Amino acid sequence: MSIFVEDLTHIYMPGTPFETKALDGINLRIDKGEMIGLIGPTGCGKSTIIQHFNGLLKPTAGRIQIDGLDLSLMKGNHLRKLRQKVGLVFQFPEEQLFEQTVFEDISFGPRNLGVAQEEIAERVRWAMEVVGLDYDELYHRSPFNLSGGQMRRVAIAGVLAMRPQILILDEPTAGLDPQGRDELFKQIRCLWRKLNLTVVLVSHHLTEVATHADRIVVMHQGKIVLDGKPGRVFEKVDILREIGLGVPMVTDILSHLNQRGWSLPVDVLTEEEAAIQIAKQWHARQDLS
Amino acid sequence: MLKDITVGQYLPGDSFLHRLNPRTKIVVTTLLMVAIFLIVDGPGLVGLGLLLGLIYVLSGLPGLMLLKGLRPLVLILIIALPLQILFTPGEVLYYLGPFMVTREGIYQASLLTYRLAALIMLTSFLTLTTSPVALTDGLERILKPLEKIRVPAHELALMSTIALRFIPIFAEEAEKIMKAQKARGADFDSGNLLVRVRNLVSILVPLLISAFRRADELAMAMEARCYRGGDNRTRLNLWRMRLPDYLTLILGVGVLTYALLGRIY
Repeated sequence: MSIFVEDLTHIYMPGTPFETKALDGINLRIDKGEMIGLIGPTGCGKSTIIQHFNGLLKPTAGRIQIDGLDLSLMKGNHLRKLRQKVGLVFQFPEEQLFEQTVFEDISFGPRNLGVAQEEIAERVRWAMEVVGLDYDELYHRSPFNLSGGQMRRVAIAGVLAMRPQILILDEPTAGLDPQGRDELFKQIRCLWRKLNLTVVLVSHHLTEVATHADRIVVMHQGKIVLDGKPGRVFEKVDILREIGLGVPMVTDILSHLNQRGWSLPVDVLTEEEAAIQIAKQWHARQDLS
Repeated sequence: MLKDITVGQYLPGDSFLHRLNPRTKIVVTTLLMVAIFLIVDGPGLVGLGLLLGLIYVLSGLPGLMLLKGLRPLVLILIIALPLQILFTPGEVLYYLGPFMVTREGIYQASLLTYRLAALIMLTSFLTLTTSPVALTDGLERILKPLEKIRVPAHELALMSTIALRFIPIFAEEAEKIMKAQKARGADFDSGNLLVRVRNLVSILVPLLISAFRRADELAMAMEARCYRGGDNRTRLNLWRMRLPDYLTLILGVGVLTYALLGRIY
């Protein structure tokens, strides 16, 4: 499924002293099967824009189309069907767990959609496997007795069990340890490839997402400032620094070397590649002198 | 929706009302609240309206904000007004099936609306122009004399501030959880009663858990900073009673006296 955003503006609490323009004329097109990283500092509007994708927020101006269907025209049941297709995992999703067992909690979504009992069981098992949870060991346990990382996985499984075609994750790795982060990203990537999903990863951590996404959209103060392949985005080191986003260490080193007269490509993503590039030029310089 | 709850919200500013000593504001608000329920005569009610208008001007608050605060009132009125109108005995104006609409009923109903609206406005003025810290400060100073008879003035004041402070936070949290459950296909607007109650559980349980977690974290943070009650605590801002405070107090006492006299004679 594709997402098409046109001139989207959103203003919170208009007409009050708390009025804030969270989104300012956003134009964005996300095609089916893309893996996108939506990056920006805190308060840039990234959480606001994703809530438009499944109709939780209504635009103040502009419109959103999912697979060519205009969201502003949708109501009630249609909106619920849309929310099945566009799975949204909120920030700290473990805070929305409420059922007595892991099984019950994950099946909340499918149950709301009226999925048959046998199929629910099947989906819960599948969703737990996808996020790396042992079904037989955990399904009857209370979600509140699990570790933080496991709770996060249960919550994500709860959205996956609805079998969405677009998966949006808001800061899915916030508060997880490095190992847990890597694992989660791998699982998401694996899922994306297997089911041909459209995935939107929302984060304020550029480096982390850059290695997993195919395209990066950078937001700042309610506007899109950069949009392109990770390498292309990293080339704009100045812009990234200016809006307060951390630049990957590799990019940082390369751009500093360039300031001292080197001419290295800045769109390199991994340490290995950077090392090779630096070594190459190092030898070339040695030869010259 | 939930974010529109203005109770317990503070709007920073520098108006006459903002600069008033919190003690004065609490005392006068209490006096006026009593007066609102005592006044029944026409001139008194009009005067009360004018007084609220004056406070509004002195508060420098946006009017829309105050009107929004009145919204919860509508729900109470929907339940209370028909009862008042239909079940107050008196001079019958016309019949509505087995019920009758009386002149007294309509009078009582309008009085109720007026009083409740005035009450909410009054308390909104207090909370919107007084920061939570100032509010506790004021409350504590007022309750201080009662410490002699073992009333835990400081603790009471602190508890009420924390409660006030958390109202908007919980409203926000409830909205966030509601959205998250909506994203999982929950429906809070339609369906039969059983389904709705069940769906409500999906908001209440996480909300309750987060309330306990927040309370725990707050207690921990306070202990980590060696917080221990009110003995010998000093304050950054000392509020002094100034001329405007005395004038406001006199006004409050005056209004209450008028209301009391109106009741007696």
